[in-house]
Amino acid sequence: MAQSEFHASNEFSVTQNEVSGAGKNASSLTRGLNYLEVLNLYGSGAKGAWNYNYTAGGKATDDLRNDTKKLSLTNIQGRATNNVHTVTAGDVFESFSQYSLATSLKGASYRYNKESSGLPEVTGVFGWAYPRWDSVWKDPVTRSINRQAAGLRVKQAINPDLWAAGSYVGAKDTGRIGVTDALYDAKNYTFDFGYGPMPGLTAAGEYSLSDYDEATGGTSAKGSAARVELVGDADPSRVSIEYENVEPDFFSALGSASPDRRKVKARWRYKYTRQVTFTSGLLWYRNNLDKTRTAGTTRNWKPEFSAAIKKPFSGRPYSFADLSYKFDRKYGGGSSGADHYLNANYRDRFAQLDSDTNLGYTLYKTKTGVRDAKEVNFNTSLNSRHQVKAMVFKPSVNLGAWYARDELAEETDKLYEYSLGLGLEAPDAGLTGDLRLGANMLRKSAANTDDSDKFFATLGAYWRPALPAMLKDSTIFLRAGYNGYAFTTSSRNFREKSVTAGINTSF
Amino acid sequence: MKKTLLIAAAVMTMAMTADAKWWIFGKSGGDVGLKYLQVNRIASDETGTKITVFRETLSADGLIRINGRASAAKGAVGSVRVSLDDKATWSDVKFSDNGTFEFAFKPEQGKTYKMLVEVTDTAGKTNKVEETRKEISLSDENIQAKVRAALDALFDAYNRENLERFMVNVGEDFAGDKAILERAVKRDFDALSNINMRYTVNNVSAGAQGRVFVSVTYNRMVFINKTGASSTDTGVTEFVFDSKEGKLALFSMKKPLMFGLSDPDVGTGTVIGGGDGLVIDDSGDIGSGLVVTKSYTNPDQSFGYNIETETFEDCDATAPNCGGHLLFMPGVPYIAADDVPTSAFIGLIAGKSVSTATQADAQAAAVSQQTALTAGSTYGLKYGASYYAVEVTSLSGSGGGPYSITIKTKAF
Repeated sequence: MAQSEFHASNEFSVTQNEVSGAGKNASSLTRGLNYLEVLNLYGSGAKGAWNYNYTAGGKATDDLRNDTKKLSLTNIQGRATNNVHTVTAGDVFESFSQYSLATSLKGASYRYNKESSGLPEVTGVFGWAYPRWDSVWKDPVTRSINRQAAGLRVKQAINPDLWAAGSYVGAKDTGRIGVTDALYDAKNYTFDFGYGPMPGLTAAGEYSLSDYDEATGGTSAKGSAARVELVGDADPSRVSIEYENVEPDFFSALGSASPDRRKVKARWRYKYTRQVTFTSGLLWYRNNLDKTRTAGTTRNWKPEFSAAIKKPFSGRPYSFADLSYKFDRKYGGGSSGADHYLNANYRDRFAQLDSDTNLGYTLYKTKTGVRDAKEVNFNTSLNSRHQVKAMVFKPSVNLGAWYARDELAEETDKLYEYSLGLGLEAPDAGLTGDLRLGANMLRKSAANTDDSDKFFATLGAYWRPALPAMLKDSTIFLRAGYNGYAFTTSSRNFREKSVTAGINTSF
Repeated sequence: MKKTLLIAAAVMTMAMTADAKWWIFGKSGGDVGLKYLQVNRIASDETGTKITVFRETLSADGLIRINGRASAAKGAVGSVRVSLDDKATWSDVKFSDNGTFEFAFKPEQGKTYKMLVEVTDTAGKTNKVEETRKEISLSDENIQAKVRAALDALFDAYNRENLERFMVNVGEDFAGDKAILERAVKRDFDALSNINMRYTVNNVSAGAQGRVFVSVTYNRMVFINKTGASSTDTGVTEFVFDSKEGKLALFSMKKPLMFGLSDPDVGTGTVIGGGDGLVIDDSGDIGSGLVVTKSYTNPDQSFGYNIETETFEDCDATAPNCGGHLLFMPGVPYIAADDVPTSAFIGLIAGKSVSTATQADAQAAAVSQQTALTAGSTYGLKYGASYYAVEVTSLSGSGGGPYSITIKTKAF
């Protein structure tokens, strides 16, 4: 008989925010003292031939920016199985396939799966696709459209290398909140499969047919979506080829899809030597599959190539270089652009100093005069680690610059930034900390636009005190931050101060 | 298009029927091996070498299941063994005639299992055992903690505008396409600065295939480089994560988007009742969802505001109706939809800020010509075919004036 288990974790914190200055209304911080409490529970056990587990969690806060509800249930789920029948209630996330069901429901599910019996695996699910539990009991603040869903999936292993599944998902919306809220009555019929014809080679795909009525606009439509992916993965190569076609009228209330897209994608990663890996890829996609867009069809080509080189300099064992080029070509539909992205990254260790330097160049070029710009960005960071008796110090420096030249407006933007950091670890005392301060400065040449300066400082300190075994995973923490924003228009200036103290406990 | 389909079909057909591993480029695999290997129903190719399992993603019996299919090109499979302690001990595993096998064990929390699978054919030849090596551990963290770690990594990298660190947390199978998201985030970083985004978790649900559904309330402030303007907004959005390499990787996200604002197509679906949120257009400016903050002091108690030009104007007795969208009369006190002839409407959106108000809120509220003006209130405005939300964040003054006011506005 399985042993019963029970685990809990809790985090309680209080935050004091202060915002001052003439432009303080632009701040996203809630002023004053606020609290945040997060609790999670987990338990498991067995009764007879059945094993069960359960989870529950809640959140409490008085900061409306944290949550519009002061007290809310974040998750609740119970599950029981006898290795053939599995029943789940509460938060139910039965991920059928990408197009059919890829979201969580508040409801229940049942699964039949008898291994090695030759019988199909059958899963049934019923529930509501509310984004949160408060919506279930129609809380006025978090009330949402009522989307009721039901689904059934049958999956069969045809042979050891091939499986296929068919699924049905229906969703019906009621309880409109706003007069323009769309109300769908939608059905998706989906077939998906997985095939492994030889070691390292897999094929997977799905086809989904949707049929929906939408009450607000009075529209009805049918559409389909299909995707196939082939992956070959065995050293030294990994090759993937993907094709997707999602019709404009395809609608999946509970799945994931980008309608009106035909896509072909290929990617090849090749380990040329132990030190050098090449990656190349090509992505092409277009819209307007039904040719009804008045603006016409937009097509995208996105080739890319990169090389990752370990030890580019044989005398430098920690050196690493990564070079990449990406190209975006977008045309049709009233737009025409060709963007180039070049990036070089170099990492190395010099004595006790780790360095990471990045240099990027981007050229945005449009034929329609929307965005013609050159941008250069540079970042470098230096990190070090020093142990003094039982203490570890980790100083760091970051420097960055961004330059953008708008060729259309003939204006230039420049951004400079720096930061200094100091990390601290005292393992014997169970203490870790991190202090960081810095600034960034945006300089704009355009008239009637503001330059801006931001100075920031942050402190994080975490202490794991020696506590009884049951509470040994407890951390007391303190986080503090300061942001000072200054603009050319001084009435926009504001400053933010924030201090958070809390305790995290789990067992 | 037919050509594209034909090429895709031809490539697939060739791959399916190929006898050799064409993608290896000259190097051949061993004769004895595994046609597939799965850990808790996830293909070993996708799990990476380190697999961290969470209590919440185990089946109710608490077991980790390893199943696969052994193959021998010449002869038959003779034995299948699994080691969980780096080859120190081996367990014989029963297999069927076609080589399929399953092995299950109950993991202990905090312990790492170094798993290897050995297949031997009847001639005594074995597979490349090291290629099956996996380190499996049962996390002592709960899934909520892991979700927060994954979200913290994404939000922190985005706040710091570190593209490389951000993309490390995005899965290869990202539903909106990883390549599209990478370029969109790069464009976000070119368009925005001083990004400050925070979140709290509303709902977590761990499910099939190691995937985890997460709903969050977000709070965001950004500066737009092109105009120097700032924008703040809050709302609710949803993510799905995949469990790979012992951590969670982003699999999909819905609108309103948190990342990749420069290409809304990276979002696959919309949160029920949610909108597009903040969107960056092709020019690098905010296309929609921008919250504009404006302050003004008027010498008397009658003034107006034009949302499109973002300007206040003094509307004295000679101009009772201003040229803009809103008329403020704080001495009465009322706020009016300013239009002659009257075809604009306004009304209170209770319990919401300009950031959280939706177009549906504005539509439902905008039914009157005027309504009471109070500081801290948010109003829905209909002007022609356009809808707006207006929040009066501060209002001071008395009698005939002067009055100082700060408002936030958002166009839908």
